[in-house]
Amino acid sequence: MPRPSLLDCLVILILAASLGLLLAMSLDGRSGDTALVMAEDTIVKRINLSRAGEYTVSGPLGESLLEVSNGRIRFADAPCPDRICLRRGWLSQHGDSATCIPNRVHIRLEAEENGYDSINF
Amino acid sequence: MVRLAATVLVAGLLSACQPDEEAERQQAHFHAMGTRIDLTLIEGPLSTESATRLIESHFEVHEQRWDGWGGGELGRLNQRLANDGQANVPASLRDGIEQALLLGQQSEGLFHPGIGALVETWSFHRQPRKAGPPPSEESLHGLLESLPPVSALQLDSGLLRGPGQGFRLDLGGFAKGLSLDRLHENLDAAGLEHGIINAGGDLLALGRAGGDSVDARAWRIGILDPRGDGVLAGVTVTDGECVMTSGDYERTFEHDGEAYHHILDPRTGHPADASASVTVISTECARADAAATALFVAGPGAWPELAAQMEVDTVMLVTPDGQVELSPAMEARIEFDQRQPDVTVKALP
Amino acid sequence: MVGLAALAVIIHVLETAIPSPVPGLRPGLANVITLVVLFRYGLAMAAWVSLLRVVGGSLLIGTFLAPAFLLSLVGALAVLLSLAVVRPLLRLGLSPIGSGALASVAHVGGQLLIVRLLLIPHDGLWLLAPWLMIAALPLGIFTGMIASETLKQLETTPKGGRTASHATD
Repeated sequence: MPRPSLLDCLVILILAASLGLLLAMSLDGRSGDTALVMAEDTIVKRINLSRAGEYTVSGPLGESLLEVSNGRIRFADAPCPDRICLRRGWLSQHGDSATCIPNRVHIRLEAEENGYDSINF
Repeated sequence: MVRLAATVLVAGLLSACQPDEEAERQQAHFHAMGTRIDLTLIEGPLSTESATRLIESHFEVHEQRWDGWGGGELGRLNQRLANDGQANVPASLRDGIEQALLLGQQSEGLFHPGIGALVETWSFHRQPRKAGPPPSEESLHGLLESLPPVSALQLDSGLLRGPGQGFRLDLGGFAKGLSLDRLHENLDAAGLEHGIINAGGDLLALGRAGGDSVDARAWRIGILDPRGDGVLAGVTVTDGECVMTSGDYERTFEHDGEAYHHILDPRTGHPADASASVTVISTECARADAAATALFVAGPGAWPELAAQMEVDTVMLVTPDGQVELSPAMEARIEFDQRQPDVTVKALP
Repeated sequence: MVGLAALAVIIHVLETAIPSPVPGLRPGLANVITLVVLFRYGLAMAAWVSLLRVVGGSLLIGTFLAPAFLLSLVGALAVLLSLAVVRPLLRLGLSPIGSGALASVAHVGGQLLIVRLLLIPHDGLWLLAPWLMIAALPLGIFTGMIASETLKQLETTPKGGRTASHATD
């Protein structure tokens, strides 16, 4: 069984640390995913999902609460009676969306680098 | 040395991970015309800061001017029309209203600038819409009875005659496009050469992505799927083209489990239900805007003929069940993104 | 020398049977030979052998000048580049194990880069990239240990002329 030298261990350690850093960056940054938040048909917010946080959006029924963590977003609370949007759970993939129809709040995930310069709708 | 090697290696990999930045691209946004305006600008003879200010004040003026229920020119004109049945159209509105009436005639009334009272009955004139039930059949019937054909609406040396009291203009399906056309002229004159002005999804593209650099390319626009998540299709647009979409997912409300949206069929008084969305590309934004509205109302069977009449040739219609109909000119430049829908190409007469 | 290259070609061909999450992306077991040649005959010879392996291997599999060939080539070049960078450390005690770890990560990194640029132009690949490179690290240590062991066996044979297969008799 060959034994690694001190320098080997150093090289491997540095490699492991760099790769760990790379992994953390890819998990954290999620290559800059953005959640588009619309109230009525108006885009009211663009939330960068790389930072955890809570956001409120106002609609006709009151305030919908959005929660962001680990590159994902969900409705954490909503003033709508059926709360379907809460059951939708976490959104994490590009194009995922959830809508609170009674409160007119819509969230949709888009990638900044989806190859389009602008989005038409 | 090891540290250096590892750093170089990781740095190389990391830099490869970054999306290609087009360095000089600037983003800005503000709210106007009841929507969010997103700007993507490239510095040219006109600085992006000056361009942003110019665009912002432009939309402020036009928001005021074309609001049929506000204190601006169209609001005051509507007030006089509603009270007196006729009114003198101020100079600032004249060209726009004439163009809207002409497009209304070309659309055979499916884009109808005279449906202000109808829009108001549905409470679509205010954003957000005041909660409440849709209007009754009787009230809609009465309003349709009194709605004149577009051809009956004419500017007679600046005087617009309505059919009687209560008549109002609504340029909702047109004002955004018109504002973009006027903005285009202003920006040309001021010296903004490259950028995208996206007004709540409807946009005007100027110049090219990357500006005057050697690796500049045409702007790429993603068109959202009205019946799914994310982008349905992508198109590249050339200098001065507008991409305008009318969709049944905009300004919607629900009552007793029934969903309603804001694009009204002037023939029935109800939200048009033949299409999910219509996208029109043209260098005339106002024309594209009005055509998107009219073709949406026309629906799958009738749109090609109406598109020819309205002089637009690049059209996509998505049906309520998610099928796609394209004009030949649109087919030539569109690429589907996440799903490959059922596509029918329909020649324009 | 020719024998080592031939052995490398065989490993290269066998390796294509291992399934990979990204088509054409290989763990780089043939790096064992590259490491052995590097430590016994130097970098120039290692370069010759690995390029010979890439060309010979793809001719055998029938992927010469196909995307898989390009991937092997880029992988081999990335390995050589990384080894060239740490060459000054060899005299200071860097063994095939540390070199193998670095080479393996460089191998996968280089291949991912070319996959992203030419074959799968989608940034979703970068979500996969750290995992693949992390998996490459122990694999590289493993190839390094095999190389180290092989070198120890070769110590008993005089340099030059003899091939690996004879040496391990």
